[in-house]
Amino acid sequence: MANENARSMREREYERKIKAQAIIRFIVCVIITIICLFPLFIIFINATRSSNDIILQGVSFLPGDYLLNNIGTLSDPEAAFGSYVMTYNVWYGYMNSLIIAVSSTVLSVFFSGLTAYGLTVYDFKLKKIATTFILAVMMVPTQVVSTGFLEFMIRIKLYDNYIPLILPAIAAPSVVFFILQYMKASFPVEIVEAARIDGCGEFMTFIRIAIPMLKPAFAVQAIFAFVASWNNYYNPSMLLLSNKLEQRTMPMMVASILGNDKCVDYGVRYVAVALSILPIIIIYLCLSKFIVKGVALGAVKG
Amino acid sequence: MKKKLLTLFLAAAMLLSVAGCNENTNNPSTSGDNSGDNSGDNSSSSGDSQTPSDNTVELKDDGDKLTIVTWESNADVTNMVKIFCKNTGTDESKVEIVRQGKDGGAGSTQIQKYLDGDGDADIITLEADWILKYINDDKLTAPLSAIGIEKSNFASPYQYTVDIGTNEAGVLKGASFQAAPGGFLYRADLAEQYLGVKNPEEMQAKVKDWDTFKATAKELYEASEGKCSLACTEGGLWQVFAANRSKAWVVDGKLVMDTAEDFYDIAKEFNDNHYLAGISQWSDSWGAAIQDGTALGDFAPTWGLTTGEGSILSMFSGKEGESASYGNMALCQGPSAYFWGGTWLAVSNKCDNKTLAKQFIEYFTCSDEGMEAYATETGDFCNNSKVMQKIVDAGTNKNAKLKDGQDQFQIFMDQAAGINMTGLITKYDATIKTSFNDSVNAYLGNPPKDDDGNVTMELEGSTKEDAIKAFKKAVAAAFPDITVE
Amino acid sequence: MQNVQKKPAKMVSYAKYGYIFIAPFFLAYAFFMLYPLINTFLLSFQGNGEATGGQWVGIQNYQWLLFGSEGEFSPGAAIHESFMNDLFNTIILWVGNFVIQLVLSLLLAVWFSDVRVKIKGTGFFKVVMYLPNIITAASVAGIFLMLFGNSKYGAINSMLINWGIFSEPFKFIDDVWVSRILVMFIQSWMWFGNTTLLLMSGIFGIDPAIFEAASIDGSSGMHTFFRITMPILKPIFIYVVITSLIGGLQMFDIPYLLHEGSTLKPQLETAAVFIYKHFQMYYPQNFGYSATASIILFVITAILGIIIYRFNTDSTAPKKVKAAKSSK
Repeated sequence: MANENARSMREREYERKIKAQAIIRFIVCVIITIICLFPLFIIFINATRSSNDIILQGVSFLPGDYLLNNIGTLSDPEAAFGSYVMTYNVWYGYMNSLIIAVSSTVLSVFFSGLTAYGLTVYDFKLKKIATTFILAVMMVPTQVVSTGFLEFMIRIKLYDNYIPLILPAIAAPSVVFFILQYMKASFPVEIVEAARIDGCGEFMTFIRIAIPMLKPAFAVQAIFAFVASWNNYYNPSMLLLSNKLEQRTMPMMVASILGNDKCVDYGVRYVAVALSILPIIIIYLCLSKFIVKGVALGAVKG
Repeated sequence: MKKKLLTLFLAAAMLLSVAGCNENTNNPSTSGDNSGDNSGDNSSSSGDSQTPSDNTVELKDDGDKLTIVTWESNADVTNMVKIFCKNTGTDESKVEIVRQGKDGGAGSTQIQKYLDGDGDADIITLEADWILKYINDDKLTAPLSAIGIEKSNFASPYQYTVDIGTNEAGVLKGASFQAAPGGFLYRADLAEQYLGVKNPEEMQAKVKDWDTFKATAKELYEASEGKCSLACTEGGLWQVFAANRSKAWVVDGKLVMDTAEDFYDIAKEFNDNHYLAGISQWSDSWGAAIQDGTALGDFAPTWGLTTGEGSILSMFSGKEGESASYGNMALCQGPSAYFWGGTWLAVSNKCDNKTLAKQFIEYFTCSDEGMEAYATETGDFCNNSKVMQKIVDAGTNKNAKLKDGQDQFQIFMDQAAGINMTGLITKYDATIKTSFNDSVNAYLGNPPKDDDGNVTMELEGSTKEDAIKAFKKAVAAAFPDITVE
Repeated sequence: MQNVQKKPAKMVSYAKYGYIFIAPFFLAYAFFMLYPLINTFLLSFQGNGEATGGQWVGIQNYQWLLFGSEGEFSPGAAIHESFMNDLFNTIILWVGNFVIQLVLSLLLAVWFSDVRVKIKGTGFFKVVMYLPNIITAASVAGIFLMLFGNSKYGAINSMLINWGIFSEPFKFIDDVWVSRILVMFIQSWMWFGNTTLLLMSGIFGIDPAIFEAASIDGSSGMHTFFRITMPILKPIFIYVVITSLIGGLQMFDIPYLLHEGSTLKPQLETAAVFIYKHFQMYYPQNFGYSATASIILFVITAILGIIIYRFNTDSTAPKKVKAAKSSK
């Protein structure tokens, strides 16, 4: 009896300890959450306040009623003699980033799939070397080739357009690697032979049979390729030499409004930054579960 | 197998690299041809600069649009195109403005990059900090005589603008539409509140020389209980100081510090005693600091007082009805006469709109009528002493953003005549000036202070020697052709 | 592969499709990566800017960048100092960011996968913590630039002044060490969610029965972590280190954009900023300096990668030996 009592005491003690631990951990997580969200919160709050309010009142935790005015100033050709419209155009930004991100994502996923498929399904002399090569160059950082890349693009006059921003996506070693792994685990090569017997051409087999089967792997890689391309600042700002407004991507828009000495209205600056991150936050919130799972599946840090 | 692949790649690499080398030698972006020191063994086109004879450059006249290349934050060109088109009946669709680089500093390299590319260019705008680089390079600019403009065509110009627009070989290449003396722009309402100053004359008496300026700054800081400094930025102070130097940054290929070394101490004194508000020039907080009274005012030149949006004056003024500084700014001469910048128009070598380009440049540099229209409509100080005198005499100019519609031209009038920039500017100035101000700011630092103004945390600050060294190294790294000692 | 070997006769006739299918990848790679790499190498032996651009200068760039040249203010000495400063910054910023990030991520990964102590809303926390990683780095720089602005109009300064902690604005962006710590913080802020998720995937791979057994044996949390979790976590841990290292050596957006006014902050200039600066801000471009710095960075990356990889395989070697022995 006494023994049992002592054990239940110990158990209760243990449970209490666990509970206390859980509460402490929960509080720490809440604090981290606040640190994660606070900067974004301030950006969105200040985007709704007037510059004058921000200068005189400092930080506020309540939104103002100036959001539309700020957006108006941002697109007003007369404001600051048109500095805002010459520096930052949200639609160009969205459009250009979207064009580049979508095309490079499609190319990257499609050709990586094709390469992985070629390396899995067929047997040929250079297969092993090709596979090894892809694994070996997977970790080569792209920025170490940027000087030679830029000089080469200037020489063949491929600057100031999107081709050198989109076409290199065809060669994405890490995506190939990921799809290769995926195919090893869940793509029976026999299915290709069955298709051949049915009289399906090699390329059509890839399109009709392999792509549908590889969809989950494609989806994961597509989302990360898209985000990486959308967020890329280094390459577009390097290759778009003239830095024309109509060609700027969203990160370039943000960089140019931050650096502009005439665009000094605080409310407008906050709105500009807020608009630049809004779409990606919305996309993330819609796909968050999928993305969080995808990270563990093998996204490579960029 | 591995070997085979390797040889394959190597072969491909060799092939590509050989192709690369061949083209490399005539790659326009890497070949450095500076005609300023060409020795005659260059191609014939750059040899032209040796002879100051006219009409060696033939420009075309079949382009569809007059293309003016400038930088993003240049408001003057925007205004000029509007005025030009309105008053000469030119269709606005005939004129196009191409903007390269976010501000005057970035424009220096960005415009050159643009000119080396395929883009069209008829007129280019050049800033005082880097005009010499452009007019001494015959690959970038053509003589004004090529479109039929000579020195004698200019209408009563300030001589210094003509001198600077003439290159080392004596060829006229740049025409300035503005003269750029500066003054001290301040909050009239706060000056009255803290200093009891009622008008610009009284204010001028309070800042008439540097000793009085400092005394007033002290008085102001105390009267405002530490809220308000007299001037705002180190950059503005430097402009006044720089204008009174006697030597250029680079003489005979050598970096000359001269009196610039003293400026570290002066800036330190001003900063530590709160004569300056410690704001950085051209930052987003510059205008804000005037609007909320952190600083009473700052140094500003003629082109900073244009009435349109985007000028220094409009940054200081903020929005009508919201900002206390709107309509409360006033201008006085300040402790010492100075000049600051200025923009020149030049003709690009690629010009294919000779007639329209000539018409445009003529309108703003040779025509009394055009220059008067420009000055009265924009509030900029045009490069025509007669016209400016006429406007001042008429007393009709009222600047809406200044208190009681003060006429800023009247303040600038005397100072404009005294400007002498000849021999004081170099083609390196844009970069050197930035590096210099960076090193001064690094020296000034900003240790955190508590409520009583005591330093609460000692920071790793640089000494004056460190700052000077850092500056010299920055120059040496940027310009291998300058000797730094 | 094994499948293939079983029926070689059938597969051989399709070999050409293998080449056709992988051709686009290799063509694109050769054109956009391999040749640029070779070109970078060639450019590293060429000069810079107006003076020597396009000319062959031998190993002068390497000499200047790595060892400088005579004279305190000679161009070689100046460029050497600038490059070394940037290399130093890169290392400092990466180490600082990685330590903060790793400690936090390990802690969170262990907590989130702890079967005994369940935290409410783990799913929500994971989503929120990964959020900063998805936001454009350029915008993140903008966000923190406005929060930590030098003047009193920056959000943090204005808060601290309102609360009476500071009487004057503190120049977060200008101060050497504070701005570096800020960059470390921003980088950690952006990446800790990602690292946490990666580490969690490693921990979830561990059989829960091991943890149960450990807890029955009375193993403390610390003990379990170092004796059980860490050793099993090693492969994914190494992966995290390598990817972070490569990412760290390329650190660009935040250090490049985090400045007020038009000039870069020397204390934040990283090697990637050095490379970018010399072909972007100078004209004619200083391709020589950029290319040389790139090649040096490439070599450093390769060496570090090999060291870490060796370190990894060496420590697993004994296991293989054991396995071989037991099979005998």
